[in-house]
Amino acid sequence: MHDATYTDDTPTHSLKFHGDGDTLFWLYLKTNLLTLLTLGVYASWGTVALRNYFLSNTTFAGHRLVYAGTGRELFVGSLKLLGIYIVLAVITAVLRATLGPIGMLVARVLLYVVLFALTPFALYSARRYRLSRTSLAGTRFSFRGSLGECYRVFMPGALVTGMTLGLYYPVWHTRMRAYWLRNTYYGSEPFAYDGEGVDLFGPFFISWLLLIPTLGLSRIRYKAAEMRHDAASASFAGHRFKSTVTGWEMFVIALRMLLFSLITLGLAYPWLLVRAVKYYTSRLALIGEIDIVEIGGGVSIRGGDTGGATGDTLAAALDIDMDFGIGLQP
Amino acid sequence: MSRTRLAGLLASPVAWIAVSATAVAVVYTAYVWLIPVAAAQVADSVPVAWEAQLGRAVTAQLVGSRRVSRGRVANRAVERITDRLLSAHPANPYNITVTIINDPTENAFAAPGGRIVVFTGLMRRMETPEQLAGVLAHELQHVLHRHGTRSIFQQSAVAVLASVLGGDSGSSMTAAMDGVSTMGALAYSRRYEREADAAAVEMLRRARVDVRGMVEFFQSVGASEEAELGALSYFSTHPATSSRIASIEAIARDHDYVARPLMTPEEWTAAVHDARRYRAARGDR
Repeated sequence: MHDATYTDDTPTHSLKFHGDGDTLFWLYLKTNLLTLLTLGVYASWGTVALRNYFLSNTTFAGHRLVYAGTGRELFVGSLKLLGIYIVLAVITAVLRATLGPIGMLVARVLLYVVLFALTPFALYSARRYRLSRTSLAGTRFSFRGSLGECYRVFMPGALVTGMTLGLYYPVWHTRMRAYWLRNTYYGSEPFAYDGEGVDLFGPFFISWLLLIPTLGLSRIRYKAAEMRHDAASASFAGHRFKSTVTGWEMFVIALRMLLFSLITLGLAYPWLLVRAVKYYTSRLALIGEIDIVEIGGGVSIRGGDTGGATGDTLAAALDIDMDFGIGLQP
Repeated sequence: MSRTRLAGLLASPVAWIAVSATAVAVVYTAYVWLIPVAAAQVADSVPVAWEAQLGRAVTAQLVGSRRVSRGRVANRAVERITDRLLSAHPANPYNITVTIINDPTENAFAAPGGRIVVFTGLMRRMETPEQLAGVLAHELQHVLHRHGTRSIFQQSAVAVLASVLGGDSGSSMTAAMDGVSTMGALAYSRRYEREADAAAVEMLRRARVDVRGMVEFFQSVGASEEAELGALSYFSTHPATSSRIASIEAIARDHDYVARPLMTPEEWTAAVHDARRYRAARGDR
């Protein structure tokens, strides 16, 4: 199953986040103010500034992550998204005019179908864009999967998960993870993933049964198990990852965020976020010695198409949960 | 269970088809039977006083700033009809009040707790008092069966069910589940309308009021409505008018009784005429 061919002495490299709440607070203040003053136009640049802050303050094996996305790219993407939104609004108005109140309902159903159909595209496009703009020790990441395969893995899985009240999720999740990770490259070296749904089904089924009695909280415990499993199933250049998050710690962090945010009317959020990011990054590690400079070649290789940022803004608009596949959210 | 066996099961399409079929059956049963029954039970335990308060709030919202018709002849005529209908229903825990609102809307509604509102637009459409009695009987049955209160609990239960099914899979799923709940709400309200229709016919019979009035009214409504809705009646809160008429007539046929007129045609014309005069101050509920 999973190799345990390492002792406690085996060196590990974990991600380190070097940011602090003070700097983040001023950054948030600045971006929010500018966004307000420019009636939202600055939002694209604000997002880039925030991403930049998080990524450039994260190191792995002593090297800093670099984010090269621009506000202009995101802005163009959101304009395209606005275009799509206008088209949908026009279609809705036409339907309502021709079919009356029934038209509203038909338009709504149509909208949901369209949004659902676009979800894989949004995920795919956002990942490709973000990875292509991220580099470490001079070498870029990239995503080289095909959109067709993304749909083939996502669609049937999503439908079956829905039809089985969620029970199919562990299988669907591991298949998606495999797709995301195996097509993610650092330079010309791909990641690997050998996780299987059967290993997640136990913890998932328990959390599923306890979902209503625990008012949804059992999901947290499962999420931790899922993160640990996914890390252990993922590897890069022959080295496996390792995650040591626990459900309880995740619950405490989430609870603290909620309570302190409420008490301070949101002002404490930057400090709470920094604490959370430090927790999650410190708990993820790559086992063994690795020379990424050697693997990456130190050359900025543009692997595959970089893609536009429309998918990225769409993913944000759809509020889709996204990460780099190893438990880290950019 | 060994890992290999579980892996085998998870890879088997037959197993998943079986799970889907079971899931669909469970959700369907919850939707069609469990939720309505549970909502009815919970609604029945809600105190009448709470319902009355809810009804006041609902009425205030729906009536808005329209004027109450204070014509004495009109109000007394409507009272007579209501009293006759309720005479055969002595175990009524509600304080039924019927308010006539001066508005061309051809409608009437019942709020939880016993507040019934009739718009003058509807009254003007009635050729005989028996027609109004049919509508009032229908609305009274909504109150007596606590449909308003029940539907509140049902909507929440369906919303919870939808959120459990949708999970945390992003906003498009949530939005889709919203649509499902809306459709569900419509289906439930159609069931209530059918219930109210059947109970209304029974109420008319017990009060010795001619059921033909109710049928006549629906026939006149059906002609104009059906043309619009047609096949899309699935999306309306009321069942298609033609099927309502059919079910009412079917029930009425089983009951042979001698009806006593509610009032003379002259008294009725006077009442409708009087309803159009309003003497209430603005903002009077």
